Amino acid sequence: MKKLWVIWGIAAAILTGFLTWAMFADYSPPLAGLVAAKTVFLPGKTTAGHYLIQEQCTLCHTPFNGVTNAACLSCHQAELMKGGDSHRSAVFSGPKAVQLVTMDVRQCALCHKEHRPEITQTGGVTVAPQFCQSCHPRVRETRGTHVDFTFDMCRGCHNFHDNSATNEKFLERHAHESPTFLPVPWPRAARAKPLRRTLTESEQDAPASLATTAEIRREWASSAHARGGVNCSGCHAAPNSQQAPLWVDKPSHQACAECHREAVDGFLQGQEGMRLAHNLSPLVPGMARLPMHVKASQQGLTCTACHAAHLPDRRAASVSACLGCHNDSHTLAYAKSSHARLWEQEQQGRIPAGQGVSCASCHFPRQAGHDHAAATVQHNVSANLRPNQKMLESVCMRCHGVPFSLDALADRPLIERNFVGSPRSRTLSVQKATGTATK
Amino acid sequence: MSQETLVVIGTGMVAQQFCEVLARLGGMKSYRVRLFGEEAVSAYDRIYIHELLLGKSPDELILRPPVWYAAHGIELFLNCPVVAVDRAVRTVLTAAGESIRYDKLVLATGSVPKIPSVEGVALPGVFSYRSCRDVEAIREYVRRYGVTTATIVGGGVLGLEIATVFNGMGIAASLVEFSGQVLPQHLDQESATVLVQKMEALGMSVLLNTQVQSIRRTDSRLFLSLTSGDSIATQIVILAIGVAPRDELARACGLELGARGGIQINERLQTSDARIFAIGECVSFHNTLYGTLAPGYEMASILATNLVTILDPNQAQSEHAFSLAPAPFISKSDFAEIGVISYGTVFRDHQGLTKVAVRTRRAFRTLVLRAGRLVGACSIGEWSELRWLQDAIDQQQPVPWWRALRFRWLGQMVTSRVQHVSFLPKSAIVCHCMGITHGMLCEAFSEGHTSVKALSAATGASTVCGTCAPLVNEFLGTPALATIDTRTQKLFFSSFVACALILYLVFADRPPVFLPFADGTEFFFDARRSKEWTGYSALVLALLGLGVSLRKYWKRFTLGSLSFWRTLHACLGLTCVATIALHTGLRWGTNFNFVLLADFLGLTLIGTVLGMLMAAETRLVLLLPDFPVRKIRFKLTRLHRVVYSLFPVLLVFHILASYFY
Repeated sequence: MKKLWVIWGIAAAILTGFLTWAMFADYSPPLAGLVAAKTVFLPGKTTAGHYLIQEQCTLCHTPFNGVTNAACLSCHQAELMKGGDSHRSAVFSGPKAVQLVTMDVRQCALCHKEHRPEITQTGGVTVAPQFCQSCHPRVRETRGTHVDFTFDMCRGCHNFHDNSATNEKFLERHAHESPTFLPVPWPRAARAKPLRRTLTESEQDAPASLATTAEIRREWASSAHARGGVNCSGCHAAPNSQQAPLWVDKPSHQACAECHREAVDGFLQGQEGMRLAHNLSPLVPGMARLPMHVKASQQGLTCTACHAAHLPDRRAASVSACLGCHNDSHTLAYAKSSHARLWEQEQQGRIPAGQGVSCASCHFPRQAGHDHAAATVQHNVSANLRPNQKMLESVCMRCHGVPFSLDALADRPLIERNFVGSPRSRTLSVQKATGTATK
Repeated sequence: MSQETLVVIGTGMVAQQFCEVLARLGGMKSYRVRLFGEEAVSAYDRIYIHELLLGKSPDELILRPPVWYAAHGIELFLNCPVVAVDRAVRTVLTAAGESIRYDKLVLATGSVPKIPSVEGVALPGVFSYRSCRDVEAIREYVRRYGVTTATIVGGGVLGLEIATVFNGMGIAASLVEFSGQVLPQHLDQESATVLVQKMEALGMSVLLNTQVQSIRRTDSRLFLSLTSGDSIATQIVILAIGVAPRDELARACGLELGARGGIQINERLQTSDARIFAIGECVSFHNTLYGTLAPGYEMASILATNLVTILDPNQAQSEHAFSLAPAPFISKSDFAEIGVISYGTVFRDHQGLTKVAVRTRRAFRTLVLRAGRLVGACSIGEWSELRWLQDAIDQQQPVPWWRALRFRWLGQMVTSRVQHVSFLPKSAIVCHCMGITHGMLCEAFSEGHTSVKALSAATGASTVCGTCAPLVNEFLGTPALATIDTRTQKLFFSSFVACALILYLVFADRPPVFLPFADGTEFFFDARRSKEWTGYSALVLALLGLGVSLRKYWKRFTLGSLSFWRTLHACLGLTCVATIALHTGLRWGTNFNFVLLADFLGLTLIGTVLGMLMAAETRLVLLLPDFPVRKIRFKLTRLHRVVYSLFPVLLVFHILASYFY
């Protein structure tokens, strides 16, 4: 009898210890192998994006205080503060506050409940489809164009946080655009000013003790880094207050950020870099929910995953880097698309630079910099990942008219096929907005 | 009504049994019974004549003293062999020349040992082994010559018995058997081989497949030459190659005999003369001879019953028939420490028989099956299931696969039968809660506590969990059913409903998804407040339910009876399961929550089965004595506790997690 109690005591102690660790201990790299154990308390499937950092519960959960707005904003603030958010929390507070009718929509977690896959809808939204009705009950009467709509259709056009596109005025403005036109030329690639004079192969400054291969030296000598005067030590030497700088064999993204601050910051904001941003191990394709190539499943996503360390090549990073991992139908269909044909033509010099469409053209688009001369690449992949939520203005409209774009985006199978073919039907939204719809 | 004269020839055990039954049925009123025997003593227990060798006196083996015969009006003539029967005038002629008239004659002449027709069987030192006289002669010879080596001819039951008795006396015994195995009538080859190995381990030697050719005597030593070419030097030879029916009287008076000798009888045990009957080893029934006691006893009983009823006009039609021919025979002997059991068809009729043999630590056991039905069994070594086996073989019970498997694994067919409490050793615990042994109950009983209540009050037995109440009742001989608790119905009902509910929870389709309402509130199942209400309610119910453990294990907590708490436990458990159904919304949850719910449902499911079993236990024990209900209950209780043991830890973390995150 006594023996049984001892056995029970030991078992209970082990279980308690494990659960206490899983609940209270922070994720730390030496325990990375226990990721699965750390997520033992996960009450349900985590939404896309968040699941990549789910083993670090405290990133979102404040112990005994639930999920606070502060936790959400620590990542999403910049995006929410963008113009066009007609529901940003400032609207509901202050002297001119709009009165809250039924629920405090300033609380992020009220509409975005996590770990509830059964009620989670597009955009991580967990509210009822008729949600807008509570505050906008008369919208069908006051707007003639909305007579035929029901309240569960609001979110088809409108985004709670960013209603700058697909509102009535926007649609009216763009109603007459043709399917393909180029209203804004793609920004030209930024050409960084050389820091110093171009370096030659013999000038490399790797320590003599290091057995550098001729190939590495040759690659570097022909790279933009050498042309811009960035020597080996430029990346590999870590700043050190002591005499000689420390040599780092594999510089981290922070080394890149010394010169490419904006790109790295963007990368860390997106799904691909968010684990690095939170000091977790780099994302590997094996963690993804999208189909990935098995052979690539354990390759860590750092800067050098797409940009070869010694001979960075933007063209390679634009297509072949993506195809190396992604294995979904949209990716696989790219080669047959008109976009790919244009990209080939651009590679062959048959059309002007900037008119070809690579993977990166849409998902890592160039954005005009402040001085309009140099453009930066948006390395936050999450900013341009979901066509219907985020890509109409930033991507599609660069080349295509809005009516055509909306038709294409409404055709889900067409997106799946990477736009091989034409949209199967016309959407009503533009016609509604301009009053040209025929009933 | 004038008495008929019933003459019985033979004073052996079968004749004795015949007289016993006749006397019991009051047959002496209708018959004047006259018993003639050639031996000097009245019927004695022939089975145990070997004990004479060990020093017992013949008087101790006598079944009934002469007074008994006198008391029942039976005329007993000892030392008075009958030499002839005259069927025409219905008389028997004794050796003394007396002629006795009979109305009915019963031949119970038994058998004589077979003597092989080889040279030297008449030499001094060569004995047969049948009667008291034989054994006394052997004893005398052994004593006089200081015999240290013996040879027994014949590997049947008798031969083995003599060999082991000699072995026990320190005489080196060798057995000579004509066939390829010992006990050819009782065992199959494999079992016989095992038996021989055991005998040899005890110091006996066994020679198979050989016959005695001749016996010679030089001085006080005997020399046997065998057909195998061997020769054995020995001091004494016992012939035990079998028996032959004593049918010479019947032959002489012209009664029909069987093909292999023996007096032919019909199923009414009548010979070809309707006034003459024959019973015991002297008969031949459908050309079968019987060399064991049991069929003889059965014949004796049947004949005595028939003879009594035949004169009673009211029962004239209800004659018993003898039908032993296809029935199995039993033999259970102890040769030294080696128990040998053989029942049913073991050796004969090899066609269509399947054998399953298993060697356990204690025994080598064989089952014989015909078309999946049990027709025989034998064992070298003890087999406690003999009683069960006999019934099963008599009924030719089918052997299901799991029973066969059980036999192969454990060497047992059934779980040990729940023994009547009176057969338990005095040290056996009857009431596990209070530690009351059978001996303590006996003591209290002898002190005058002779009712269940008084016994319980005096010893404390069955005052805690009540499981042993049937045993206490059994001890006092009162029907156990009387103690069935009215609460058991409630216990059974709530357990049953809870079990059904749990099974529904486990197997039901998942419910539809409930989206939150437009005002942001959630459906009952998902709302935080209802989660708290249902969760804490379930917790309180579960804590109350723990009262049963408190009552059982905490000696100072005596509020309410254990059966009350147990019933309450079941009712609370049912409510708790229902509450959890609301708490979870019939969803399993993931990860930790899944484990918790699975543990809870497993825990409660075992609990409900246990509840039903406990409620039905008193009935089950009576209805299915073979069903190990008590054993299953102990195991399930243990499992219930094991599954429960870490549940509190999980629950604490579940509650903690819902506030932590």
